[in-house]
Amino acid sequence: MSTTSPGRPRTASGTALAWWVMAVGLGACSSGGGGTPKVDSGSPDTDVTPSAGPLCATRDPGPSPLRRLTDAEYAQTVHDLLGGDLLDVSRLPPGERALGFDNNADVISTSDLLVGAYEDLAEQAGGVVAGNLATYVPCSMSSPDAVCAAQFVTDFGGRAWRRPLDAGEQAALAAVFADGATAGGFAEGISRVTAVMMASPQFLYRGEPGAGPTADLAGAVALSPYELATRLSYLIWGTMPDAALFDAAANGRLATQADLARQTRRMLNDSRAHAVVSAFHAQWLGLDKLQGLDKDAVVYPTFTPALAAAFAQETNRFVDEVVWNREGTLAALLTAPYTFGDATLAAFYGLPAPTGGGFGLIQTGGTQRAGLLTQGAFLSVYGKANQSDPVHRGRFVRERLFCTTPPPPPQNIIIRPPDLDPRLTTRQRFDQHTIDPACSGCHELLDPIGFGFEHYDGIGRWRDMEGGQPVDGTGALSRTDVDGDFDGAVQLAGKLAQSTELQVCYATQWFRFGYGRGETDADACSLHDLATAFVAAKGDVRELVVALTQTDAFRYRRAGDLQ
Amino acid sequence: MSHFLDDRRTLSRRTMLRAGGVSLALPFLDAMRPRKARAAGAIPKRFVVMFTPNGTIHPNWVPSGTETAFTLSPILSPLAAHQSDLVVVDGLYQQGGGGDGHQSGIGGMLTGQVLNPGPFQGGANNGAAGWANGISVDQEIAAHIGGTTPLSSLELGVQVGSADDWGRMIYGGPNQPLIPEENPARAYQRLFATKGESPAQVAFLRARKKSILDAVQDQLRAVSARLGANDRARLDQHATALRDIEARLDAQAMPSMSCADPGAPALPSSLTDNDSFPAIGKLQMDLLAVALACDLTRVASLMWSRSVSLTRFTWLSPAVLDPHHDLSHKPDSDTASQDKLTRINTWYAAQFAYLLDKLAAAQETDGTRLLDNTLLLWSNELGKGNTHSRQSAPYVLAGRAGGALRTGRFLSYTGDLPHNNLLVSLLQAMDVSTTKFGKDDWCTGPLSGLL
Repeated sequence: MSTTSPGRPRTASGTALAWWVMAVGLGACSSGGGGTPKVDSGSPDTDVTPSAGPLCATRDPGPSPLRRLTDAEYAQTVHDLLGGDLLDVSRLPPGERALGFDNNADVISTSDLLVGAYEDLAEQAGGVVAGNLATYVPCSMSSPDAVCAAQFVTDFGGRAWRRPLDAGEQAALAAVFADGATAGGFAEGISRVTAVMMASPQFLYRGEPGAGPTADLAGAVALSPYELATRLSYLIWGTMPDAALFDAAANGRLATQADLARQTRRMLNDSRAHAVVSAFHAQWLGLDKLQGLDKDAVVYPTFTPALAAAFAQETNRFVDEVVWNREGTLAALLTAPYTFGDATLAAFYGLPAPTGGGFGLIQTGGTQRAGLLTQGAFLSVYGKANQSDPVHRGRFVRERLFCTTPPPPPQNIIIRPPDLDPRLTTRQRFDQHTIDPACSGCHELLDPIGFGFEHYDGIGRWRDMEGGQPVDGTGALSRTDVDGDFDGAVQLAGKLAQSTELQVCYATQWFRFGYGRGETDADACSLHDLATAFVAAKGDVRELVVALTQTDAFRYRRAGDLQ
Repeated sequence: MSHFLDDRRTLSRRTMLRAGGVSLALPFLDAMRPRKARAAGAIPKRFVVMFTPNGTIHPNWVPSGTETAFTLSPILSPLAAHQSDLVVVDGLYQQGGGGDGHQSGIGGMLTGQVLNPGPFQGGANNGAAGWANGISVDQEIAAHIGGTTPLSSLELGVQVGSADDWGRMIYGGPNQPLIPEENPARAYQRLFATKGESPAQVAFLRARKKSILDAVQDQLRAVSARLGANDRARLDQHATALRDIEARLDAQAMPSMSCADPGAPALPSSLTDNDSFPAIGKLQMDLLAVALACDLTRVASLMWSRSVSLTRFTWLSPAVLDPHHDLSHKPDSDTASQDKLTRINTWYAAQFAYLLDKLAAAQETDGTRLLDNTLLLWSNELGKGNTHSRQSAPYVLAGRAGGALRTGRFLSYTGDLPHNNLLVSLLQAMDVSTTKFGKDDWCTGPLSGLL
């Protein structure tokens, strides 16, 4: 945390990080004439070029759009609040996805279907609490009255709303209880007041009125201790604060960067942090697409929902092992010569089954398989239904690993994936891209990377031969800080693991995920701090999470956003 | 419990409460049937949108002949039995802007608006985009005619998938995409809800819900007052949805003669499996038709897959194994692919025909067909898949809109008239008095010659 020590006055950085420059660098390929009809790849993959704005010149917390609990956060919060999976949270409609992540506050939308679901679930929660008064409202056993209800509102409401309730809120909820009690007795009053708390914006949203101006940064508002506790708990755990975090908020122990770092390290040592780190990697890699992933059963008869589920479990276990038990670094995620699987998955990879049966550690040897990009999850998601997909695998590396958006295809051409031809390799069929000058300008950015994955078919199976010919898995990286030739995805991953640009992009992806929004020009200093800390920590993922709590973007919000 | 049935009868339709909440719908059965036929003028109008993706094969879609004497194309041939119920509209330019071709197409299809700036990154020349900048035509209609039914509108989908630009076409307003229900069992639950509650219980649950909704509204106001304008706008959307739910607790339906609880749908083993697509679609169409017949809503939509759909039509004969979007980019010279795309679109036409069959079979209290009082729009986000052109986007209208639409016609326009004009005419056919819709400079008035 060399760059973000508490109280260190920061000024404009003189260090020009190469990545900003690079982000602009890909825009050079030609596009045809304007006007309609328009042509594009049509892929809804979401990612943007990082803002090529100014380097860190002016500190600015950036925008803080109102965040709503994601479906996963809602489920986990309800679990923690009620002490179990007691509500039918599966009825929540799927949340919006942008930039790959499910928590982008800029695109959250509200409709009757969603609000109706929240209402139903809140009433369900009311029924759960009212049906178990001894558990949730202990005072009701001896004195089921308004005083007891007020105590319940203070306790339960303080946790549900993630801060102490003010007098006006107490009074409003007391009135709800009283109406319910009149209509149907004490339990009915508790049921209704619970439902109101669970359907209210203080529970569903993360409103942040702030705690007033801060001397540290002009034009910014400091977040209140409870708002910071909530930011910490959803960033690190994906759920509400625990008792220790509430206690820290109540006692002024979230005031400094050191306080935040201390809490973060404590929270990272709790297993609740694992789910969030898993969610980040699954969304970053696009692995949620494994659910219901469709493959041509004629070409890939072995691809079943069970195999897809095994892929997902494999990558999840692998990320857990790297981040929490072993190296802890981005480089290891890209290159580690081990993975997890059962006997079926091991056979799929042509590797010995794990010892002890079940899902266990498998040593890959590091020749055909090493790291995330050689696992079935990634390779099948970025594989077509009936063939491999060098273009989109290459595009993934550019967009998700280097945070650069290759220019779109030129207009007025017809884009067509080459037909299957049993006599040719995929690489030969895609050679049109490099023959046709209309295509080659851009595809030279994608295909030479994507061809490196050609030893893996559309579901990630290793192949030495295709169409009766040997597979050529050689490729090249260009316009990166690790340019050069490689042979196969393992070598490619080895080069990627050396890239500072990739570390910076990974930090940017965590910015988007951790803060629930895309970066803006105004975030240059926060991004700079984040990336610098991550690079200084030699790509340690946990240190990156700590660094996320140290930025202006995390600690403050713009005063103007409250007007 | 002997008194129960009698009470239930006296409750009549009034107790069909919005199912979105605790699901207060009363049992349907005889209690829901109208006691006597209403005068013809009282039959409500309905509006339905059906979307299918990735453009069409225009030469195989466009009918031949004149306005009133025309021959249906290969793609539209499954609609032959309904030719007299159709108006096929060719030659309009489907407006849209922002994002890639698919993205702007689906965003503008029903709104006649651009996409706002935002983070949804397609393969576009225009960069990323956000949600559409306006209300969709069906919601504008719902705002006028949807006020008295338990649901102001019903959005259904079939394997729509991710919540982003390509999976949303219905908008309640700028940046307010509405979510399609993709699970027929949940859609059924929302429409028909629990059965058999006693009247006293219904009243109690309704009072509880009102009490909760009122208190939550108070909290929304209190929280909003402490936040900035952008955050307040988000919470305002939430408050609007709550008010809508509350207002409809007392909704009263006017079911047709053909209103009957279809029973809980029997779902296919997997809702996500590609091959479940036809079965899910049929269940959704059945629910859509009965929702109209029972007057649970007067505005509905059905979204088949999504823009850039990768559905594989394995159930066709011979099977089409390529993902739809991959096929849609094959060149015109690739006759094998054009044939596959023709058969895909023909299959979609058959689904539209099935929906029309259902609406034709449903009888209103005055003896007319439900279809006669309904206006349907079948549309696509593109005209041509391999160029992403939105010229001559394929529009098929059906139903007579209570007499507002003369059917059995084929209209061919020239000069790239904006499709906003069609949207204006749809509004007029549904008795919404306006001469403009969507982005102002994309709209020159109603579509001449349609109504």
